Amino acid sequence: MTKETTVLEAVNLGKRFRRTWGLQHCTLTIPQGRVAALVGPNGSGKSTLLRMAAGLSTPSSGTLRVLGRSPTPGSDQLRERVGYLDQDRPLYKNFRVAEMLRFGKINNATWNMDVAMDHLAHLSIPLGSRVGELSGGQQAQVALTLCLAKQPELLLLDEPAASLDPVAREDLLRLLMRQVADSGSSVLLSTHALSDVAAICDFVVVLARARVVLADDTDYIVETHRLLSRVGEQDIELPPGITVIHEERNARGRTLLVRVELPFNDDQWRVDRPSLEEIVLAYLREGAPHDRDVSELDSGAR
Amino acid sequence: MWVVWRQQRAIVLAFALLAVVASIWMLITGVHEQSLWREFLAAPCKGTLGRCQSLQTSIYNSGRFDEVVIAFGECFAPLFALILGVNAVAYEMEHKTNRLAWTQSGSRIRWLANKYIASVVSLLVVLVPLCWMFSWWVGATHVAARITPKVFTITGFVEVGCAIFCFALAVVIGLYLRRPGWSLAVGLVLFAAIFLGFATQVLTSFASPSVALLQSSQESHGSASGFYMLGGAPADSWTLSNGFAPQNERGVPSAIVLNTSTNSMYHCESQQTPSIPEPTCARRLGLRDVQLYVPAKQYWSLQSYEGGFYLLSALLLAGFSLFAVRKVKQ
Repeated sequence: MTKETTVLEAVNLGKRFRRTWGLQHCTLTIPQGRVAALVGPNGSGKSTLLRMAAGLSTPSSGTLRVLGRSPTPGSDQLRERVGYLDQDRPLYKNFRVAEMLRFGKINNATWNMDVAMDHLAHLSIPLGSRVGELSGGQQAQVALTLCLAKQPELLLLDEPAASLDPVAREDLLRLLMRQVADSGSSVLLSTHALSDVAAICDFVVVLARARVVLADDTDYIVETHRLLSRVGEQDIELPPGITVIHEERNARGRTLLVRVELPFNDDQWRVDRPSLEEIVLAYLREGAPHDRDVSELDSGAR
Repeated sequence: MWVVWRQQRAIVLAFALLAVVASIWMLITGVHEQSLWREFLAAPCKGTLGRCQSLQTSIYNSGRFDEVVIAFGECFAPLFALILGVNAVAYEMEHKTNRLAWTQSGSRIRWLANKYIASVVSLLVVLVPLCWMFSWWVGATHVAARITPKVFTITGFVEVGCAIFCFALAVVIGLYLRRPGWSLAVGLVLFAAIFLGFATQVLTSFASPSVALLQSSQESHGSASGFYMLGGAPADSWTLSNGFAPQNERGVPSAIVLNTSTNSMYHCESQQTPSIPEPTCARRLGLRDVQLYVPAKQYWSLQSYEGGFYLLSALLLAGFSLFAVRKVKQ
C-alpha cells in the first residue's frame, strides 16, 4: 500500500488525558476512496482519533498522517482538504441556514454553493430558518451539508447519525453516500449503529479499551471469519492458524467466532459465515483477540 | 469578519442603543445644567454660595442623577468589552462552535485576529462618540474637574483603552476557563482590581503635584468644577491632599514633611482645653496651611499614561492569546 493511496496512517498513535490514555498503540492505515467505520464502545477513543485527524488536538505519542501530512492546528492546507463533523454537531444556533452557508463559503476556497443548496432543497430545509429552530435531524443535515459543500478529499464524521430518528438517519446516510459517489471522497465515520456499518461501509476499524483490535476491508473481514458451532461438552483442539475471537458455551455446546487464515473445513464443527455485525460485536465483546498481539491485526500488518 | 459581526451584532446593537439613550439623557441634562451654571456664575450671583439660593437649589436638584450617569460611564465600557470578549471565545468554546471554525480552511490565529479586529472596531464606533459626549457633559454639568479621579476615566480616551484591555482580558480568560459565566466573573474581578490599583497607586506617581496656600478668609465660590469651600488650588485641578508645611519650605513638600507638620499642629491644638485656635498654632510653629494638587494642564499626559497602560497591556494580552490559541486542546 503506497502513501498515495492512503488517506490516514497512524503508527503507534496515543493520546493521553492527564492520567488516562484516550487512545493507545493505535496503528492503522485507511486506504483512499473507502467509507470506513470506526466502531467501539463509549470511551474507546473514536472521537479522540477523529479530533487528532482533524487537527483539533495533537498526539501524545506516535505519528499520524492524514492525506500525507501531519494534522496540526497550524496545517492550513490540510484543513482545506478535510471535512470534520463533530459529534455535538456545533452550529451557530442564532444564524439562519443561509448564513451558515455563507459562513462555509467565506471560510473555504473550495466551497460549492450548488452542492449545499441542492442538498438542502432535497431535504426541504428552508434557508431562511434559524438553525436553533430546526429539528435535531435537520441540524445534523445542515452540519453535514457544511462538510460536504466544502468538497473535501477526506470526511471525518463523528457519530453523524447519533440520536436521529430512523427516517432522518436514512436521509443522512443517503445524502452521505450520494456525495461520496459523486465526489469520490474518502470517509471515516464513527458510529454505534452496526447496521449502518454493514449498509454503507467498506472498511471497518474496531476500537476497544483505547486500542485498535480490528481494521480491514469489510469483504476481507467477512471472508476471514467463521462461526464454528458443535453440540456436546467435549473440548476439541482447533487446528493451527485459527484465532478464537469470541466463545460462547451453553448447555447444548460451544459456539466460536474465529479468524481463519486458510480455508477451514472440519467435520466436527458446523461452519457458518458470520455477518459483519456478528464479527464486529464479537470483537467489541472481547475487547482484544486472545492469542495475538493487537497490532498484528491491523491492515498495515496484513 | 462578517461572521464575527454576525455573532456579536445583538450585543453591539444593545450596547449602542444603551449608549444612545445615555447620550440623549446627557444632552438634555447637560444643556439644562449648563444654562443654570452660566446664570449662577454670571452677575449678580458670581458663583458665590448663599447669594442666589433658589438657583443653587435648582443646580442641586438638576444634578441629582449625575452620580448615576458617572457610575454608568465607568461601568459601561468595561462591561461592554468583557461581554464581547466572553462571547467571542468562552461562549464559542462552551458551545463547541470553535471546532466548526477551527476545521475550516482559515487558521486559528486568523479566527482570533478577526475577532479582535471586528470587536475593536465595534468598541471604537460605540465608545468614541460616547466618551466625547461624557467629556462635554462633565464640563456642562460642572460635576467635577475632568482631571479628578471621579470623572477622569470617562473623559478622554482612558475609557477606550480600558475597553480594549477588557476585551483582550476576556479573550485570554475564555481560552482557559471556556465558560462564559465564570469568564465574565473572573474578568470583572481582575479588571476591578487592576483599575483600582492603577488609579489609586500608580497614576499619582505619574503626576507632578503643585502646592497652593489655603486662606481662611477665602469666600466659598462656585467654579468650573463645582463648589470649593476654601479653594486654594485652581478649581479645575485635582486636589491630592491638605495639610501643613513649614513656611520656609520651598517647592512641593514631601508626604513625610506634611505628616510631621500636621501632627505637630494636632498636638499644639490639643494641648489646652479649650483648644488653641489653628492660626495661633500655625504662627507659633511656623507652619502654613497648604493644598497639594495636580494642575489641569497635566490632564492629557495622565490620560496618555493610563490609556497607554491599558492599550499596551491589551496588546500584550492579544499577542499572548494569538500564541495560546494554537495550543488550546480539544
